[in-house]
Amino acid sequence: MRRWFVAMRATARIARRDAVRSRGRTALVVAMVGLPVLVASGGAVLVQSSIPTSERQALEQLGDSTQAWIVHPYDSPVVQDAYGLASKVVEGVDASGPGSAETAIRASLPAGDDLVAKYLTPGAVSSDAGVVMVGVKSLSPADLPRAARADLVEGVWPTTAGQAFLTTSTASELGVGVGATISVATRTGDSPSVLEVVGVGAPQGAEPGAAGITVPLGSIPVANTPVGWFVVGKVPVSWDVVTAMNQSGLVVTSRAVVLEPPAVPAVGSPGGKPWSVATVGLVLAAATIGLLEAVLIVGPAFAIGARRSIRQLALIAAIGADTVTLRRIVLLGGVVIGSVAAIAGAALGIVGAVAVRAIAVARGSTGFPDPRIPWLIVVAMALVGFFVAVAAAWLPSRRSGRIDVVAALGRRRAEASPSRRVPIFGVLAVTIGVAAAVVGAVTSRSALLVMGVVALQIGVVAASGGLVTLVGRLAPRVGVAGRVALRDASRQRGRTAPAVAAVIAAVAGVVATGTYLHSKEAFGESQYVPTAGAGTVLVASSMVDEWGDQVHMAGDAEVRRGAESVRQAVDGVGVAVVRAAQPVNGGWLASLRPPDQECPADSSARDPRCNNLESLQISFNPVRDGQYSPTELVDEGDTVEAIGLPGADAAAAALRAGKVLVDPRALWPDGTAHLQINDGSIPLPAPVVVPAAAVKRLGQFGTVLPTAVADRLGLEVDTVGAVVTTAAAPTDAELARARSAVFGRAEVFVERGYSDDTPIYLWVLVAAALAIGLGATGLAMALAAAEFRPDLATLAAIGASPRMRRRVAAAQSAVVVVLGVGLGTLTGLALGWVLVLAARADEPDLAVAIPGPQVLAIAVGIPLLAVGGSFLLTRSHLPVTRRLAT
Amino acid sequence: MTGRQLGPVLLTARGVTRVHGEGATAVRALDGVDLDIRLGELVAVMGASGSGKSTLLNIVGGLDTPTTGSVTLAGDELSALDARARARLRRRAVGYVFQDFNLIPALTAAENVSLPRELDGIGGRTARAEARAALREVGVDHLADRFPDEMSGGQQQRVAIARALVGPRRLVLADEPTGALDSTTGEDVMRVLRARIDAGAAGLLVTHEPRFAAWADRTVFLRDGVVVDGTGRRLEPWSLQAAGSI
Ligand SMILES: Nc1ncnc2c1ncn2[C@@H]1O[C@H](COP(=O)(O)OP(=O)(O)OP(=O)(O)O)[C@@H](O)[C@H]1O
Ligand SMILES: [Mg+2]
Repeated sequence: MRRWFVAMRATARIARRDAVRSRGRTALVVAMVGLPVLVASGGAVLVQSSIPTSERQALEQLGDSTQAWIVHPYDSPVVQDAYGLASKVVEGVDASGPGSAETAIRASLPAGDDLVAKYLTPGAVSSDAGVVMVGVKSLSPADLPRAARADLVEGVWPTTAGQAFLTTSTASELGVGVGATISVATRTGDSPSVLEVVGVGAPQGAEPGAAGITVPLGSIPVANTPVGWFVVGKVPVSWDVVTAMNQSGLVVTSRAVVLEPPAVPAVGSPGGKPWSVATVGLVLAAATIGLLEAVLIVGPAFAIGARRSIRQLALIAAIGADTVTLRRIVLLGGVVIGSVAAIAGAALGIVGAVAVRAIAVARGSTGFPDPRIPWLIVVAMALVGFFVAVAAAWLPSRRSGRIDVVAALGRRRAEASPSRRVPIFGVLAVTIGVAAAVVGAVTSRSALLVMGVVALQIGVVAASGGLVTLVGRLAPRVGVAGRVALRDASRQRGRTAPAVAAVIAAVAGVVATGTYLHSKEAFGESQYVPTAGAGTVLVASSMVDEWGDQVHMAGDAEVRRGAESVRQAVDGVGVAVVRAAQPVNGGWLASLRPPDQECPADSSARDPRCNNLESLQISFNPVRDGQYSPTELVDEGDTVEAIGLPGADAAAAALRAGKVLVDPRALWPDGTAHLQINDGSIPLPAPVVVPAAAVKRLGQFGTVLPTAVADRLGLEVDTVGAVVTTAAAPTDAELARARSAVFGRAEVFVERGYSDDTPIYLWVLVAAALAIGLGATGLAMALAAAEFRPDLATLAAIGASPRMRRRVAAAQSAVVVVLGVGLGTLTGLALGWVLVLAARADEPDLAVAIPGPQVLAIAVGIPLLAVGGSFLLTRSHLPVTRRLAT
Repeated sequence: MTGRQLGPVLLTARGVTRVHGEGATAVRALDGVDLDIRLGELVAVMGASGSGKSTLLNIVGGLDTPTTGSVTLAGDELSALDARARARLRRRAVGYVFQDFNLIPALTAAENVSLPRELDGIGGRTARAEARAALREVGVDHLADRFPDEMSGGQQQRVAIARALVGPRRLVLADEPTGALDSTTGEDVMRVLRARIDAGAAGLLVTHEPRFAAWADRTVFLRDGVVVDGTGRRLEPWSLQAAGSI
């Protein structure tokens, strides 16, 4: 063990000093590995810092002057965490009998403390300047100053009913100050309570902008039970008191407990929806691809390092190192560089994020309450970076173990000749990988999917070496520069192959990601059903008021008035009312399908005939007498035109010709629709046959009837809303004005069309691919140039033109980049296809959509830039030729 | 240099043949070479370029393996050893000195010298002490903490000789150690090498220059992989032995 350690230390010394000596290469790898670690760990710190700690959340709930906050969510015993943020019912224990929560609290309340009930009433608070919806807190007047959790800035605390305390932000929103009058409506129809503002102040806690109104009990109507109780007084509420209260289903946040939390097991709060098998597979596959790409991209730097130090390795072998030791020196290089990169990346990430947070806080941001470091994630990121570096050094280390020591010492080609089996293995791996990945994706077997993806990627890289040799055979058929480059590439596979692999990895990763994202986007767009033409404003009469109570339907005149005020607010062009119909006795109007459009009994799930007919996408559904939801539009063409979807003109023409607009699947061969009122009567009335038209993609209107047909069917027609056409999509400010113009009476929304932000991030990916692809090529070129200098000198000596050097360099990078980009694009498309297949388990209609311009930009851009760059950046005149320094 | 007291045989090569490649392109780099080296003996190998000198050196140090024939080094028959065991033998019994690029650039002189010991698992303190001693023997102990690029060519070769004979190592295999040096420095290096061998070691020295070969106890001539005498005739083993005792 000791001997091993001594030998290891000597090996590590060489690896470490080598890393320091070849500074440029080391810095490159450290940057490649460290930067992602830095970004990831810094981001994790910022995200974590944006989440308030349990302690802070709890203390904010308590404000500065209360002992505890108690809520009563359950009737049976519970367990809770120290902060009162998570709790769950104890299974198998019966409810703790009758008795009010307040009695239960008082039974355990420390002597000397008081209880303050807090009531919360949603209210529409209005002043001359506007209306805000806010939860109005009611507290007993005596305890209000202690339980309002705010600091008075101006005025006094309310002492009697009819007075109100406002937070500064609410006061400024309403444009009021101390002495002003506000009215608070808590129910439609009830007359609002008129209150006098006597105090304005800042809420205690991180959110100085928090809205809030606190009033003494009796100022406004309140619910029967409070939302919770504050404990005020001098005596702290201990953990024993908390657990005692838990027995009655009470959950307690106690200052004393929060400040010195007892060691209690975490209470699992209900988490989000667990991931589906398909999602897990997808995430695993994506993560694996990402790691693999990273390893392949970092790999060439180590391969080149090992190549450059091949004579040194041979010398060490002559001194008495065995194969294992040689491998270890190269691998330890990965360990040294990997740990530096990982530690530096994580440390700088943390420091940077903490600094960014500090600056943000200093500039008044409340988004980052405490600096928090998610150590687990940071360490995981650092480990991933370390792993990538070590894995990238692994393959070069294997090769270093197989160098021909005698040849290296004699300055001959010393790399072990590449095995013929590797390309064959590669082709096999690609075949098996594709098969496994497809089967895994289709059957949602994550393990198979991930294995397949890995095999595919590794296979392509393994086979690429063989391809390099194959293209080397073309050498006799091309010009001098090309011949030299092709021969060199295939004879120096140890240099060419890692560069090709890195380009493959970069391109494949980006093309796969791009294809997957673009497919998702294209699918989203195809699934998106607009409610109206872009920029059109829809006004729908409300069926419920802001307290959730049903209200009476607005009449035609009122709707028109509202629509007109909306039009003015958004600077609209025109207004068309929306009318809708329903059978007099309730029920609905059904469009019967012709027999050949019925869903066959033995149908497959994908048969479009088995989908429901489309129905109205716009929610114009006000309620009359508690049960009215019309779904059929009644229109002479004007409304359809105003809504302005594609095909509106044809639809309007059909309506004006007296035809009914139906879903294409409900159009009978003779151009009629068979409409049947389904109001529950038995037997149902006979269908009415009317002339009809189907307009493609306008099925989203459901059935649209001309007035004459609605009358003939005996339907009741009401005005349910309006469409406001605009010259340009309204701004948020205009929309806000429109909303307050019809506050409480109608909903206002605007159709903005499908928003597609894909191109931007796809182009970011393309830029990344360009950077990495060019970097890998450049690295290979730099090394090739150094190794090639003596040969070029020879070429020059026998009379080659000075431009030859440039042409050779260009041809050399062409070999690397054309192979890499070509294989990378194909691999990327295959990977993207597999990812889409895997995602199909959750979204069966997802189809592969290739981001053409971006793929083209990569496939053409990288080769052009690389070849052009090599040509231009290579000096055509040789510096004094020296023997290659080792 | 007759009358020198020679020790036991350290290296024996018998019928060593090395063929590179196959068929028509096969090259016989060595063809039936026999050689003995005793403790206290420095044997020079001369011959034209491509005559197989380096090949011989590589084979007797276990870096290369003969196509046929046997090499016995410090009592171990090399063909019976696997690569690992041969590496171990190189750490413990023989050291190479090449024409240039002898020292690992990342290590100081002392670290270079102690490397074979440390690779062998000999602890830092012992290895350092041995390295110091070895450096002192060749007169460069004041350079112990210098890196190779801070030393002259002659100094580097001295360090290489120190490393070749550090600890228990007794056999130096030197492939044109003076090739990259001017003649004065070359003489210095030869003097050091000779002194170290007289102090209880053995050496095989490849050189082009008779001037340096003169430092050896005897000279072996190679031509096209075959040991010949100074006139170019093939030597039988017995005459080789005889040549050693001229
Ligand atoms: N790996 C190899 N493949 C083919 N032939 C080889 C190989 N290594 C050496 N040779 C040949 O073996 C012969 C002996 O080579 P070696 O290097 O031993 O000669 P040398 O005497 O050391 O020459 P020099 O004085 O130039 O160093 C030469 O003809 C050489 O071309
Ligand atoms: Mg030689």
